[in-house]
Order: sequence, then C-alpha cells, then structure tokens
Amino acid sequence: MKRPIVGFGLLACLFAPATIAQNETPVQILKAPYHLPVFKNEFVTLLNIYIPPGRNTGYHIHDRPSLSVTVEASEMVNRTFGAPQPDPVQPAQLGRINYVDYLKKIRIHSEGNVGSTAFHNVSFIFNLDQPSGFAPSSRAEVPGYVQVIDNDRVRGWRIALEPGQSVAAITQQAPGIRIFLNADDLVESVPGQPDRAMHGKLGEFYWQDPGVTRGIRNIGTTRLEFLEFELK
Amino acid sequence: MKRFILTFVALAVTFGNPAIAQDETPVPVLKAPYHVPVFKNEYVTLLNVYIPPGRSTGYHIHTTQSVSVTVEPADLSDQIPGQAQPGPARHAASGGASYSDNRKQTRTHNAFNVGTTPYHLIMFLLNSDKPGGFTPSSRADVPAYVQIMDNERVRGWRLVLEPGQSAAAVTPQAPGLRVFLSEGDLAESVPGQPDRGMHPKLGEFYWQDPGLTRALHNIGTTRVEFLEFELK
Repeated sequence: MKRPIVGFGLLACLFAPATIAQNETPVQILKAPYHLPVFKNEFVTLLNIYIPPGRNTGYHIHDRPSLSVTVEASEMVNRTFGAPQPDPVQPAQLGRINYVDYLKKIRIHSEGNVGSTAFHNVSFIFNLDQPSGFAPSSRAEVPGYVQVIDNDRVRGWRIALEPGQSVAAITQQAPGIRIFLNADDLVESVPGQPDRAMHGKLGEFYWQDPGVTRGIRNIGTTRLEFLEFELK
Repeated sequence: MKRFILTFVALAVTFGNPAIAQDETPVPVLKAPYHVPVFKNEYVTLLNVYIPPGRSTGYHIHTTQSVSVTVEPADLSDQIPGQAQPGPARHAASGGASYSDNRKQTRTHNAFNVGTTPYHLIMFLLNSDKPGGFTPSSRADVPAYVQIMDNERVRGWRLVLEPGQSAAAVTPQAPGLRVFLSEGDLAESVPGQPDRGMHPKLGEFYWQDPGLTRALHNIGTTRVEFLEFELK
C-alpha cells in the first residue's frame, strides 16, 4: 500500500497545488517556499524548513556553505534544475547532518514531499565566505558527546541522554547552535550559578555564545537527544 | 474541582520538584530556568519561555523593556521576594500580548505553572534603552490587521485569516518580529516574486527586516493567527 500512496503523493507534488506554482525561475534559498529565515547574525542565517506532505519548494539556489539537520523525516523527491525527470524517491533520515560548501558549486533544485508526514529541517547558512578563526572545543574527553562532523567551517556533536543520565561539563570555545531532536526536560549546571532547567522540543534551536562551561542532566522521563555545533 | 486541582498542583510545585532547587538568589531573566535565549541582534534578545506543568522558574529579575506573547495558555501563580506563599492562580490566555518597562522599577518574581498544561511564552527584550528611531507602518488601511499595541518602543497587530481569506499587502517600515499563534498554510505574495508557501506552527517566530511589501493568503484548511510587531 505504501507504493501507491507515495506514487499519489509524487503526482500531487509535481502537479499541485496551483496556489504555489512550480516556478521555473529559481529563487534564492532565502526566498524559497517553506524555507523561512528565523534570524541572522554576523556568522549565520538560520532557516526553518518545513515542507508539509504534498508540497514542493519550487526551484531555489544554494550558493553558500550551509549545514542542515533533518529533525522530521519524510519521503522526498529532488529535481535538479534542467533535469528532464525528478530523481527517485529518497527517504529522509531523522538526525541526518549535511554540510555542503555551495561556494564551490552552486546547486539549483526543487524538493517535493511525497511522503505522508512533514519534512522538517533546520539549516544554517554561513554568512562569511571564510572561517572566522574560531577554534572549537575538543570534547573528546567527555564521552557523552559523540563528534559527528568536523570540517573547515564547523565541528559538531550528538548528545543522547537517557532519563537520569548526565554529561560532564564542557566549555564551549566558539559560537554555535544547539538543535533538539526530541523533547524533554534537562538541567544545565554552570559553575557558580544555580542549576537551570529547560524544556527542549523537537526542532528547537538556540544560538550559543562561547565561553560558558556547562554540564547537562536529563531530568525528564524520556531519552533526550540534541546536536551542538561550534563554528570555525 | 478545578480549584482543588490547582491547589494540589500549587502545593506540588511549591514543595516538590527537588531536581530544580528553588534558589533564593534571583538571577537575570536571561539565566532563569525555562527562559532560553534563542537569538540576539542589535535590537532584541528573543526568549523562548516554556514552563511545563508543575515547574517553576525560580526568582529572576526583569530590568529592561520587553514584549511578551502567550502562545500556550496555562494557570500561573507568582511569588515575589518576601512573600511567604505564591499568590492566587491566574489564567494566562493564548494570544495575549503585553509590554513592560522594567528599567525604572525592576521586577523580581518566581512564576509557578500550577495548571495542567505547559505555559509557553515568546518574549523579546529590547536591547537598547532608547528607541531606534524607526517609524512603524500604519496598517489602518488594511483592516485585516488589528492594532493591539502602540507605545514608545513598539507597534503591534493581530492578523486572523480563515481558510481562503487574504490580507492585502503591507510594507513594514521598521524591523520587527512575527509570532504565530496557530499552525496552518500561508502563501506570501511579494510584488515581482513568485508566491511563497509557508507552514508556520504554534509558537514559531521570525525576525523581519523592513521594506518588504507582502500580502498574505490562507491556503490551508484551518484558521491562521499571528502577531506582528515593528520596533520604534
């Protein structure tokens, strides 16, 4: 039954909805449907990308370095600008991290959600062409942090804490972003300050300035998972 | 029965919750539990405030001008320093927006969620003591925008669109924010550009630069409601 549903979704996505025409003139990613800039600072522009089932982004242009995280998965169809046909359906993977430097080669494409669930992605575009010279922390001695990416622009880690679990303190050395992959309660412990509770939710993101030393504890009842990135 | 439940939850909040000690030394609002800064720019610091049922923020201090928008309602109780017990429960209604100036008279309090639903608030603190010299747009000619706030620092509007309804174009004249009070599908029409679909969700927020003329159309099947603010 899944194949007919996907097939129907694919057709719906390619030929509808009329209110959001599959524009043939590509637009910059910052103006693309379902790609919404939330904030911008000296270093990044953060995009909240949410494509409901059956919707399509239209052709848009990636031309800067960027990092994206899939926080809600679906089945997607990519179509490269100028290609006679769309690519085969690809299942998006929850938690997938994708860094691409589109300064080296721009990408013009459209994405259609042919699945039955929303596709949700949190991306940040690097505003500067070159690294800023930050040296991110090494968290190698703190086993709760699993390094998931390290390149010329960014280093990142995945943290998964079961209820009651803690991760020892690290000191963030470069500005960056935290992105939640699920929802639950945590407590941050900063030396010299009272414990600080917070409730992270799926797809939420927070800009994080460097210089803060913090340990983290899951005080909720479910597994807590998030990603942290520090810029270079 | 509701009074009994609220009393029970209030007691639980007051005397329970050992994971988050009720610290008696107030902290700045930027470091308060459940008040998480998402981003900061030249003008504002945006806080995502999310207090689960049964939790409290601890004592914290408001010292600046700020705008708050309740996006998920709850029953709250406040305690101020020196007060033996939290005050009576009050209901924070969804969509309520308020402006506070705590520069001359700071506010220190501890907020308890004594209800059974999470309390979710989007708050932005004004980073400068003085207005930035912007002149917000007048939307008096576009009746879909109902002005809800106008003071020395900010002007704000509420927009409600039923399925199929549109709001004529406006051109924001000052930087500001949009805060969504519901989930739905919108298309934004900007002259000279293809329509842009978007799927906002409850509690999402977007920084908006001035100068962009845009009309809105509800292309979904549910009512869409949001607030927009322009700074002065």
